[in-house]
Amino acid sequence: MPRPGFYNDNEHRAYPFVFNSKQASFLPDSLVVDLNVIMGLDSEFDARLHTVWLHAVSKNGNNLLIELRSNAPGANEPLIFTRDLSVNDDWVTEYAASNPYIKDENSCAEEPAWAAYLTTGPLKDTNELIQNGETISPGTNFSVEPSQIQSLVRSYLRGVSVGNLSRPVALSACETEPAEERHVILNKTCLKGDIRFNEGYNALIRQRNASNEILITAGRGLGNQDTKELCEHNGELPFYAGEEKPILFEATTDQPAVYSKFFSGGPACDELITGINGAPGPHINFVAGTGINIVADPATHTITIELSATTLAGNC
Amino acid sequence: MTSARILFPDFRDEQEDSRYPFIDTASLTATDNVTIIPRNAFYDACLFCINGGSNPYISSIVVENQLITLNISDDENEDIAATSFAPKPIQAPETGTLSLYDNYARPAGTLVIDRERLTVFAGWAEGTYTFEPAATTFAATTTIPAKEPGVRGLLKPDNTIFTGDVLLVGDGGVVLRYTGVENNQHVIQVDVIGVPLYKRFVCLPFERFSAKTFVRTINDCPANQYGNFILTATEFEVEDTVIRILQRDNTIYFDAVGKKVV
Repeated sequence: MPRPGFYNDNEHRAYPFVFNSKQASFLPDSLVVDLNVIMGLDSEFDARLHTVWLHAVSKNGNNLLIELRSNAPGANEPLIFTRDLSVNDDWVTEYAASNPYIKDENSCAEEPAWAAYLTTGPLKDTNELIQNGETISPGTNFSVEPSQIQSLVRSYLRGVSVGNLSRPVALSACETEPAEERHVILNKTCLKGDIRFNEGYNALIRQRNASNEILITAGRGLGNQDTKELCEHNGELPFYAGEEKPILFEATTDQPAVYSKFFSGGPACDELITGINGAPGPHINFVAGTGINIVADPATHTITIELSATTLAGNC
Repeated sequence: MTSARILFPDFRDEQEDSRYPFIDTASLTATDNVTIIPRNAFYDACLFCINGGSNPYISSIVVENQLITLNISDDENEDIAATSFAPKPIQAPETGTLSLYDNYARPAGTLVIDRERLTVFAGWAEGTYTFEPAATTFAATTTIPAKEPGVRGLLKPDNTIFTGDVLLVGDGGVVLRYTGVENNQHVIQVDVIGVPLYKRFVCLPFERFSAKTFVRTINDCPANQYGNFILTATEFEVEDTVIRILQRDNTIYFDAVGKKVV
């Protein structure tokens, strides 16, 4: 006696769905004879918690629409398979895929959140069961066999974005708190394909194939970089094109704003008074000699130096 | 009297008495030649171990008081994936599956089980039961190769793995910059240049850069290129003034010269 084939078997049993005694009251077993589901990287599918099921079957003219759903958080878009009922083909396999699941603005998703291959058997029974415009919704009674679901969750590195944490910036004289918390400044997002790390200033990068490691270390003078760019920015590097240096003093009616020479703000050494008349400090005394009065007022940070008419007048 | 034959048994019923999801020649017997995995313990399996080799098999079953662990190995890797459940009472998921995870906690497959029949493992004495590859080899149809080339993830030294979309962030004087495409490769440049204020930011977070009010000008006059500010009584080398300003030992003397009128 010849053995029936795999699809023949499946026309008469629940597979690829888990058997449920209520199924027969909704749809014939022959509708779906094979099914494979791929849950994508962003689907958040957890086989312990989530499943996939045949959610609805509807007829629209000559089209039979078969809808799969999942309760995985990232795979909430249904998959729709379409069959042409005017074509009497058994065992037709169709691929359907959802749109990418964009969880947030940092997502690099371009691939479907989930997808499936579905093979239908003879559609005669289903065609007779459903009226045009009707939809049969069997709830979750047609749950897909767990072994037919492949999960790609956490299975690969999809994209690399590059950025820097915003730099500590010196506050201007009147500020006591930074204007904003430090945050990541992105300069490229979602790199895919081949990526190469390049040795920049003072950087050494080594690849250890045996241990599958990339070693990035620092050392003075390492890296083959021309110092031109670094020196142009007084020892700093811009985090993005057009990065502006902070304002040291706001513009007034008399003069324009004064910008720091550094991206991290603050004055440069050559912008400060470090001595008076060659006296380097840090403490400098002003001493009044003959004919001079020096009056210091700490409250107003004022030193008044004036001629003393008394001494000049000879104590008259 | 012959028993009635069901022409189209349901999938799980059909597999109940077969060795599936193991190959037909799998003995399911441990190396102690005594302990046997029941044929009906597993209905089906789906294995997709990342970088997994061929011929995956159950290499050992570790029975402890509160936990039973099934380890999966293959031709190339020892213990590439595992799953575990509590035996008393059986705490396998009601979905009828045991989820396999690899050493980085990534999904590696699913074993479709009968919860009730897993109780047989609870009856095993505590210990480790090992299996030869041929004894528990999974059928090829249960295995999805996952050996695609490419980066699967980034590992920290503590074995934390980063997958999906990864953000590399420079900080503390390390600057990361995307510099474009060279030879069809995206280039990320690593610069180590330091940050003037970073040490202070870390060590004195409560005084972060409340600015020192350095003196930059006096009466709108800045210092010279050496930072030196010159006080003069009048213009340089003009002698017809009574004011004299001298500097000695960090002291600046202001004098008025001339004779007293007596």
